[in-house]
Order: sequence, then C-alpha cells, then structure tokens
Amino acid sequence: MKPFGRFLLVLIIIALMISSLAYAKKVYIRATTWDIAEGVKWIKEVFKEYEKLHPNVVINVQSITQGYSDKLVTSIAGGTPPDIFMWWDYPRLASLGVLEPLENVVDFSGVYPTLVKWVTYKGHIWGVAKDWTTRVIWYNKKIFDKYGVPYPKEDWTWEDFLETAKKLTHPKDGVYGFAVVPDPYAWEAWVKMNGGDYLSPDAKTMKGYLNSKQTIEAIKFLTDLYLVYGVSPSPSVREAAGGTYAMFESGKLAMIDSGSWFIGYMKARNPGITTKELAKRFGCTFLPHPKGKETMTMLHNAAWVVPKKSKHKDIALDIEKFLAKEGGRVMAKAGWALPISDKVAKELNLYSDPILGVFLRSLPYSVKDPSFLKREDWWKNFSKYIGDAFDMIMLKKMTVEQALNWAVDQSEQALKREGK
Amino acid sequence: MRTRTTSLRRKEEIAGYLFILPWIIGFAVFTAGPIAFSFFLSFHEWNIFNKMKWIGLKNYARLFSDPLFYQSLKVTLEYTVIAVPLSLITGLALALLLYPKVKGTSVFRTIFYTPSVLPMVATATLWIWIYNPQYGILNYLLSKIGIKGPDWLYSTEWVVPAIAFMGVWTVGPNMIIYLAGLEDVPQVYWDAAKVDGANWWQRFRYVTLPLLSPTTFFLLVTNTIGALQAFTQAYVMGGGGQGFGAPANASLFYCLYLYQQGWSWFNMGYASAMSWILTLIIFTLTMVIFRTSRSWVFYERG
Repeated sequence: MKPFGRFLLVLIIIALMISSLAYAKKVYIRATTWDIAEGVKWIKEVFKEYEKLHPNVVINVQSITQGYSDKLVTSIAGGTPPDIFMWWDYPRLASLGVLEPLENVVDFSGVYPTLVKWVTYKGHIWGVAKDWTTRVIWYNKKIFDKYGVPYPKEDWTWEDFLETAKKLTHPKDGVYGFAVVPDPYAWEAWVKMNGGDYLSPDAKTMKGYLNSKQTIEAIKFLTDLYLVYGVSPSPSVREAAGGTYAMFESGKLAMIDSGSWFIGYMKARNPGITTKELAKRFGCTFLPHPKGKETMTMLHNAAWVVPKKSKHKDIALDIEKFLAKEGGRVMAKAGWALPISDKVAKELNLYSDPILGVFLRSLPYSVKDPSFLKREDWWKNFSKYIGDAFDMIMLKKMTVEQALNWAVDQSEQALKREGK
Repeated sequence: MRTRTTSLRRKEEIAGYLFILPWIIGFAVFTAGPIAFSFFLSFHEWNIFNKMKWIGLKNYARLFSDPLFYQSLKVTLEYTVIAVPLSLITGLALALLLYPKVKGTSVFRTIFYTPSVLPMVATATLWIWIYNPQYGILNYLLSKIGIKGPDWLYSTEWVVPAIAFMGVWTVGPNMIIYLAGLEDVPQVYWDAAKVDGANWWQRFRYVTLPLLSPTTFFLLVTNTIGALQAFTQAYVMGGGGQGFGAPANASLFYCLYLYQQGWSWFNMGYASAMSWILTLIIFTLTMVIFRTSRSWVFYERG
C-alpha cells in the first residue's frame, strides 16, 4: 500500500504543477460596467466569443451599480483601473489624458459613423460603442384606441403632437397625454430642431444661444405642455405611480419621450417577450418637429474605453478591435440591444422590425454637434444651470425667458470665477 | 523600592501605549492625516489626476462669490434652526412621558427608539411616500381636518422644513439621553417642591428644566453639529428623489454641494475649502453656545 500511496502523491503533485502552469498562462482581464442582471449576462456572452478565439484570456466582468463614476475615477487616479470599462462622458476623462485613443488601432469602418462621431472628442476616437439608443416617442396603443385617437405618424409636427396629447388627456380617468420630464440632455434635440442651441459654435458661451428666440420657443413649447395645457402628470403623480415607465405601461400615460430602455424594462417583466409582441401593445415613432423643419433626436451611447494605465493594454485594445468587428451581433441577435454595425442590422433584418426599425432609421437624425462633446466642463458650468432654469420654469418661479437669461448669467459667472 | 515602582510604572505605561497603538495608528492614518491633507488641499487646484497647483486663497475667494455656496449655507442653516429645537423638544417630551416607572414603559421606550435604528436611506425613502402630495398619508390626514397640504418635497418653500420634520422620527437618542438626565434628578427635589405647593408646570419649569440644562446643553451642541453636517436625507429626498438639490437647489444642503464639488466635478481643492469653512462655522457656533451656556446651564454642586 505504501509505495502506491507515494506514487499517487507524486502523480497528484505533477498534475497540480501542470494545471498550475496552464493556469499561470491565463491572462485575466478586468472589465467594469454599470449594467446589471441581464445586461451583464449579454456582455459576458459577447466576451465569451472573444475568449473562444483567445483561450488564454479570461475576461472578468464586474458590475458596479452604486457610484460608478466615482469608483472608476478613483481607481484610475489610484493607478489600478480596470483594463477596459464602459463610459459615456468621454470629454471628462479624455481631457485628463487618462484614456487611450483608438483611431490608430481599431478599424471603425463597419461601425455607424454617427456612433463614432459621438465618441470623438478633440479629434480622437475614445471608445467602441457597446450599444446605443436614440430618443423616440413611445405610445401606448390601448389608450389611443380607447379614446379613438389615430396613432402618430413618423412625420408629425409639434402642433400634431400637442393636439394628440390633448386628446389623450382625461384627468377624470387619471390619464395623461405625455410626460414632461425636464432634462437638458434630452431636450437638446427639441431645441436644435427649432433652430436654437445651448452653446455658441465656438463653445465659449451660452449667451445669445440658450436665451435666443428659437431656444426660448422650444423650451416654452415643452414646458407649456405641463404648465398651460396640463397634458402632463406632475412629478409627484409620476413618482406615486411608480415612475414614468410604470405609469406608461399601466395605461395612465399615453406617450413618453425615451429610448430603447423601455424594451429592457418590458423584457425584465415579461421574460422572452419579442419586439414584435411588444409592438402589439406599444409603438414608437420619431420626435415631432416644428412645421417646415426636420426632426432630430439625441443619442445615448455607452462605449468601451481603455485606460492608459491598463495592466494588459495590448489585450484590451485587441478586445476593442474585436468589438468593432463583432458589431454588436451577439446582443442584437438575442434581441437585447441595437447593433453598432449597419451590416449586422441588415443581416438580421432589423429594419423591418416594427420597433427596432424606428431606432435604426432615426439614428441619422441624431443632432450633429451635441453640447456635452464640446466642453469637458459641460455638466458643471452649463448643463447644471440649464437644469436649474428648467426647474424654475416648471415651478412657475420664472418665465422661460427669465429662467434662460438667468442660466446664461449664472454660467457666465461660474466661468469667470474659474478664470475661463 | 523607588526604582522598582518607577520601572513598573514605565512598563505599564509602555504596555498601555502598546494597547492603544492600533487606535493611534488608525487615527493618524485615517483621520488626522486626511484632515491635515484636506487643509493643505484647500490651497490647491486638484482634480485627482493633474498635478496639484498652489493657488493660495483663490478657492476661498471663489467660494465667497459663488451663489450656490450661499444658497447651500442658507438651506443648511434653515434646516438647523428648524430641526434642532424640534428634536430637542420632542426628545424631552418623550422622555417625560416615558420616565414614570409604570408597567410597559420599557416597551414604549423600545418602540420610540426603533426608528433611530433604521438606516437613514430607508427612513428617507419611506418619508418620500409619506410626503407625496397626491397619495401620501400626511396630506390625506391634513385633508381630513380641512387643510390642503403643500407639495412638500416638490416645493421650494417646503422641501427643507419637510426634511427637518422627518428628524422627529429619529429622535430616539435624544430621548434616551434625556431619560438618563431625568434619572439623575434626585426624587427629593420634586418632593420638596411638591411640599412647597408647586404645581406640575412649576415643578417642571423651575426644578426639572434647570436640572436637565447640562443635558440640554450637550444635546444642543451635538445636534447642531449633526444638523450642519446633514447629508443623507438631502441626498435621498431632494425633490422626491429627483436629483441633487432638487427642486431648483432648494434642498442643496451644504454637505451635498460639497460632495457634488468633490465627487461629481472633482474640484477637490474647492471641496476641501468648503469643508474648512464648515469646520469654522461649526466651531464658531459651538463657541457661541458654550459662551451663552454660563447663563442658562446649571450644575448641581454639593
């Protein structure tokens, strides 16, 4: 028995050594995202494809749901960033010089040009889009049918929109036409399609732009929906209903201005639901436009970026290459997200999808030069005051004109304080 | 003999220091160090990534020309002025109610203390519901007595008082400390007052209250400091959870603005300057309370 035992021991040791050798050869890549649950699942599926091609690489996906940007920024500052991570405010990190530019490494020819443009800051491309959504008007068909209102067309004007919202508002039933949710980012499209803007073309000031006639007109149109026409529920009503989506889904709100997140919201509640099934209850269409003008929309695109201090930069950059080539096929095929490549969209026949098709067709209407890509201090010195101004209008503390003039003034003062 | 005791003393001293060494190290590294560093930072421009740039007093100068700094100061002072007296009075009232040794007081003491054990985030989320203008229980009850309740957290006028009123919910610690204070009052004083013909109010006003004044003094100081540092409530509840300082900066508490400067915008120097100004304010207010205490705090002396 004794010799056999020794033999077994040696065998185990050898086996351990071999396996640890193989183990040592593996490279572990750390990727972080703010996605949760199913979002993380699909990210892992995409990375699995990469791991299949590169058996020595293991990509660990870490989901950070609380204080994502704080934690990420501190980890970068501390010199221990993840190897690759999801991000959206490119100017802030790019201006600090902590991101690796990708234009010389990754072949972006297969990716939608709009998506590339929206990750470009100061002439460099900083990320490969993970997925994206434009903003559309979602509508609940049941409410339209109930009150005999025709579904909106893709080419509709602000007047059409207002009339539709009015017809759908029935306070007695607790039903509202549209939810006005002031948001400087989302409203930029409405402002721009009316010929207004937030920032001057040289991005130095908001003076003469945020308080221009066209901008005032656009903001007045949106806030009047709540203040004058009463087609929108108040924030407290929305809150009590469990949020905008819950209110919309339950048939108390006919239209919302949102992105493809609503698909994810519905999928989480109805596992396995397809967009075609979803389209039986809900539709979506382009944002309405002022008469005689063209519609526009805002894009939300999260992208994978590589920090300069990535411990495995070569592999991280190789993953970026792979992601651009993969084009979002895995997630699109699963019906989870919109692909980042037109080739994939056509291959999967997504343009004919009653819902996804709207998003794909609206992508070229994304605004041309979004303000947040023009200044690294956009959120702090500009957007914040626009948001405050919107609050003032909604609380009836100021008229639209007063509020926007006030925001310009506040922003100018803030810039002066910083000596910019 | 002498040398032996000295060496024993020395040994004990060393042992003592060794025992508290972990705490000293922890204090130096995690508390004193960062405090000193933040003082140093307040004279610099620093966004964590770039090299620190010495800018002298510029952070402080900017602060005094920043309207949001004044706004946040106003919000915090308003909160303090409402919340502190309210939680002292409520704490005292509960202590007086629960002091008599009747059957079941310990049950009630526990019940009133329970909300203080809950995490602030949970409490704040609960109160968002209580305060909902349309569906909240508070406005429902007010409507029963014919009052149309305000929009609470969604209104610029009521958001701070609303957050302050919520403080009554977590008055447990004040109640306990007042109870302890009451236990210290010798029964004979009350009995003597009773014999002298003092009624309930006179006994409370001229016996209980002065004897509790050291407790009140302690609670006034600690509650004021706590109120000036309020953060979580404002972070969770502002505008019914609509965002930082919502609506329209009406709930932009000082610490909230400080946090936003530091962690949303990475103006670490500015945020440090803000925290030192807050320290100064707290110090001054505490000194004022200490000074005035001579005229209204009575210590029992044998």
